[in-house]
Parts: sequence; C-alpha cells; structure tokens
Amino acid sequence: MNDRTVLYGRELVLRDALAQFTDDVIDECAKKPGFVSIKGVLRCNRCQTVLSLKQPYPCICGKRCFYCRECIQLGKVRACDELVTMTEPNQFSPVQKPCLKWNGTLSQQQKEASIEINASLAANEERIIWAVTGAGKTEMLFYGIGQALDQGKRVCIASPRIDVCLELAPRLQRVFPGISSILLYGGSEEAYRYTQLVITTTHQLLRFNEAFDVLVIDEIDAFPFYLNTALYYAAEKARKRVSSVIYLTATPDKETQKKIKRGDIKASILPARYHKHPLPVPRAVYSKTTLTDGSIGKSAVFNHICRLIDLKKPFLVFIPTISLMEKVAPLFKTIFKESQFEWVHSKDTDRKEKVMKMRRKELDFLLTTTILERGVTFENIDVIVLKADHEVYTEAALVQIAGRAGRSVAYPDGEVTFYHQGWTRTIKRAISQIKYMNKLGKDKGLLI
Amino acid sequence: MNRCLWCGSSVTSVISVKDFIQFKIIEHPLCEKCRNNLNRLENHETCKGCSRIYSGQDYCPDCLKWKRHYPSYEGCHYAVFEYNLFARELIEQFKFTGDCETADLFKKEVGAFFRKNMKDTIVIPIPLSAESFSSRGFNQTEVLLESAGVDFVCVLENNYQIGKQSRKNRAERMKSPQPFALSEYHKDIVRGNNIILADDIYTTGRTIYHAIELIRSHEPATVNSFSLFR
Repeated sequence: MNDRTVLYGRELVLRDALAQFTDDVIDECAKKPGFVSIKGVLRCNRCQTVLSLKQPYPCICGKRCFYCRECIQLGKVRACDELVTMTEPNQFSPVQKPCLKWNGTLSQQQKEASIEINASLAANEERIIWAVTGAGKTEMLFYGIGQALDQGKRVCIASPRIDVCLELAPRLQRVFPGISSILLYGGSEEAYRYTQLVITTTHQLLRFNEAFDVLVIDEIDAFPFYLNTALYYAAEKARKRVSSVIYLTATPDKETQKKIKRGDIKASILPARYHKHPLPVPRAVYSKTTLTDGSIGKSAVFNHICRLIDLKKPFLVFIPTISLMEKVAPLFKTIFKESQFEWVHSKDTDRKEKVMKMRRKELDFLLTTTILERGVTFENIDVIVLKADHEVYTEAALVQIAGRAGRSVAYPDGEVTFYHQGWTRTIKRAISQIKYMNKLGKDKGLLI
Repeated sequence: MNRCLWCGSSVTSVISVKDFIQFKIIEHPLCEKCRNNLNRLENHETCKGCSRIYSGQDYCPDCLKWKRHYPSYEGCHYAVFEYNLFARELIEQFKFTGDCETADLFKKEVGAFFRKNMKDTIVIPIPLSAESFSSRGFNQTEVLLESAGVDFVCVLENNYQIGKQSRKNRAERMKSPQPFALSEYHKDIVRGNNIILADDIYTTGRTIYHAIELIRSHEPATVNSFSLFR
C-alpha cells in the first residue's frame, strides 16, 4: 500500500486510488474529470468513447450518474468520479549494458529494418513496419528495444491479441533478463507493478497516461475499422508527448497502404520471408456448392480435398462462420469417413488440444474459422478457404490466411485456394497485395 | 444498423408487413445468437412452486421442503429465464462489473410479466445489504423494474448480512437468519394488499422465503414472488 511507483504513468479511477493510497499521495496526483463534454457531446475521459447510455443510473455518490460502458471491464468510470495520474519519472534501477542477451542472426532485410528502427527510436518518430507473414518481425525489434532500455527509456509492446502477448512475453524476458517486465491482460492473476518493460494487450493501454518513451503496437490491422480510432486514442494517450511509436503489420488496410505510398508515415517494408522463398499466391476458384447438401460430392472442393488426402498432404480448411461449420463438419464426417480430422472455433474448449494434434501430424486436416488466421504455424500445409467471398474475410484476413502456407524453411511451398461464389474486390485486393510483396522482394533481390 | 447490447455484433431485424403497418417496429437489444442463449422457462415444464425446469410431479423436492417449513404459505414463485451459464455472465456484468444498462435486455420480458399477471399488486424489491449497496451503488432489482417501467415500493430494509449470499454454499445459506425488517414509514402498505416480492435470481429460495415470512406477519391479502432468473 502507498507504493507511489504504481501510479507513475498510470491512470486510475479516483475511487479505486483512494482505497490504495493515503490522502497525501492522492494530493500529489494530477486529476481530471471522469467525463468531458466536447462540442456538447459527453465522452468518457479514459477511452474517449461517446456516451451511449440513454439515462443516468443510481450511483455510489447517492445521485444518478452516467458511466462508460465501453471501458467498464477496466473498472467503472462514473461521471461523478475523477481520473488520477502521476508523471512518469523513468525511475529504474541501472542495468548492465547492453541489456540485450541474444545471439541469433538477422537476415539482410531484417538488418536494414533494424537499423531504420533504431534511427526512428533515437529521433522519437513514428514508423510502420510492413512485413510479410513469416518475416521475423520480433527479432528485428530486439536491438532497438535493447538500445532504448539501455538509455533508461520505458518501453511497451502492445498487441490486440492475448495469444500474441502470451507468446511474446517469455521471449522478451529471455532476451532481456536483467530488465523488470510485466505482462498485462484482462483476467491476469498478476497485480500491476512498476516495470521498465511492459507487454500488454492494447485494451490495457487505456490505463496508462504519458508513460512510454517507446511504444510498439503489433498487428494494427487485427481490428475492424470501427475499433481503430479507439486503439489510436489509447496509443496516443499511453505514449509520452515526445516518444516513438512503431506499428507492426503484415497486412495494412487500404488507408495505411496509401499513407505509406504517399510517404505520410515512414515505413520499412519487408517483402520477403525469412527463408527467402516467395509467398504462395492464392488461386481463386469459382464453386457454387452450398457445402451443406449433396451437391458437395460433385464439386471441385470435394475433388480437391480427396486429392490432398490421397497425397497425404495436411491442410487447413477455413469456414467463415461457426454456424456453417456446425453444418459442414457432420457432413464431412460422413463423406470422409476414413480420414482423421477435427474442427475448431472460438467457442471450442478443446481448441488448444486439437491444434496440437494437427501440429503433431495426427490429423489429415483441420476445419477452422478465422481464429487460426494469425499467429499459428503448421509445417508443410495447404490452405483451402471456403466461401472466400463471405464478409468476415477482410483483405487482411485473406492475406493472413494465405500466409499460413509455406512458412517453414523445409517446406517453403504450399498451395492456397480460395473457393468463392463471386469474385469480390476483397479477394482481388488480397491476391494483388501478395503479388505486390513478391514483386517487391524480387526487385530488391531478396528472394532466391 | 444496430449492435447487440451484449456481444456487439450487428443486428439485422426482420420487419414483417404487419409490424410495419401497425408501427410496431421494436428492435430487440440482443442479436439472435445471444437471444437463443437465454432459455425462457415458459417453453418448459416447470415446478409449480418455484418455476424451475422440472417434470414429473407438481412440486420439486426443494419446494416440498419449503412447504413443510411454511405449511400455510400458498403463494408461488414466477421466473422468466433459466439461470444458465449465459445468464451467469450477464448477471456478473450487471451486478459485479456494474453495467446497469444490462437491465435493458430484459425490460420487454419483465414489463410484460407484470402487466399481464400482476394487476392490483404492490411490487416490493428485495433490498441489498448496506455493504453491497455501498460498494455497488445500485440495487439491481430496482434497476430492472425501473427499466421495465414497473412501479415498486421499497418497503423492506436489509439490516444485516455477514458476507454476500452469492459467495456462500447451500448449507450456509439455509442457516442464515432473517435479515429483513419492514421500514417504519411503510408499515401499513402491506395489510390487505396483494404483494409480489421481486428479486434478480432465485437460487435456494432462502432470501425470498425470509422476505415472505416477514411480509406475511403483516397480514397481506396474498403474497407471491418473482425473479428474472431461476
């Protein structure tokens, strides 16, 4: 209790802070109201979301107050409450330099990007890293992060996905053994403490205020568009006024791509994979089967699957929705009786086990929704996307899905097929994005 | 386009010609998937005493026990939805996270219940303990009733309760003493009237039966009880 380092660069609700700190500590804090009125519109002062409540509700203060529904999982911000923060002093115990303990090697393009990142960090500027799936984004950040930590800067790495954070944290802790670090996500058991390195979900960034000298945001494209503004606000709030932000993405959206091409934001583009083979270019095939009745038996999809089973080539089948999955899976059970396969979706409790089975090569194939679109690596697989024209498949999603194939050095090739019932702009853009990156890699001489 | 108040996915509502002509375009605050997660008890065979899903006899074993305990009590308990896993999540968000707007999800069902079945009754919400109330800032049952546009009178006081009911196991809950008292101010409102006690969840029935016991000692015409979940 009363450990004021916990307040450095943090933003807490006053009522929660009062439970943890004595009044003299609270007096030292900067305060701002829980809600602000901007141009007559009430907004939550923590997440800037426009108030969505139709009416105020009974409140702790005894009156009726509005509260913010958007960020309520981080603790309720009430209109009668205040937000408190203490200025970030960068008060860390000195470390033995360099703090980076890593002896891996970087590829040519990783080296170049790494140098550019270092320069951006030194100049406190923003940079976007557009690296194809499987380019090795994390490794090329090591030197930059190490340098910043050596200088006593506070560094944060944020990702919208918990899975990514969980994987990233131990890796970073291994290469920066002397640095205090913490992993933050909703439902984490660990209580917050003041550390120089913070690994967090982007949602938790809202709890910081001008805290970080370096902020790295992974997978900025993992958000649907309407959530983007909230994410950018959280990032703006969590970084210091003078600070550097590095955005990582494998599949920037149209807006970002334009910005990069216009030169509005400094960018490092890594078009080649670590193993220097080009990205598999998806083939789009028209298929009119509804997937849920007998017509599937005569379709190209069916023939394709049979062929892969005969070849004993493992593959992933992407299905847009859980409800369609629940219809298709039993049908597949009757058609492909001899084959071993499973299906996974976000509500599946055995998800991890099934993915492990696929990884151990115990399955011929795996049916999945978009949950396996990112972050998972299987060796030597083909990819089939059913109903690729469905609205859940954004351009980024399709590029990511295609990026599941041919990831390992041993098996750099893999076939990707999009079965669709209409040639959509999204499919077209996804394929041309992949081709563009391959061309760029070839032009730069980065491909074999 | 509307968004589901619970999961945030977009809701596309189908408007029938009949609704359109009658200007009765009411959009449900939940998407279809979330709505299907709520299990309406009226679609099931239920216990006549407490509305839980129960087939076979009229009364479930728990209710028979209560009947031995309170032999002269003839009222019964009404509930709208089954207290399943999804309901548990909703209640967690509503009560413990403090998202009062969750009450909006049920205003249609709660409102319809009271308008249809409970004419000329006085609705009395079960009060929270002082401890819960000061940490939460609202009584969920009152917020529920208010959202549904149901009038109620706060007649009961919750004088003491050590620890939250929801944190206790069944045996501990059954032993807990009478926590309620009638507020001085409203003493006469009960006599000769039809009373319905309202709560958010009916679990063991201990809380509701405490309240029933107290209300009955003030000579009402009838007493029944209601909860959103059972």
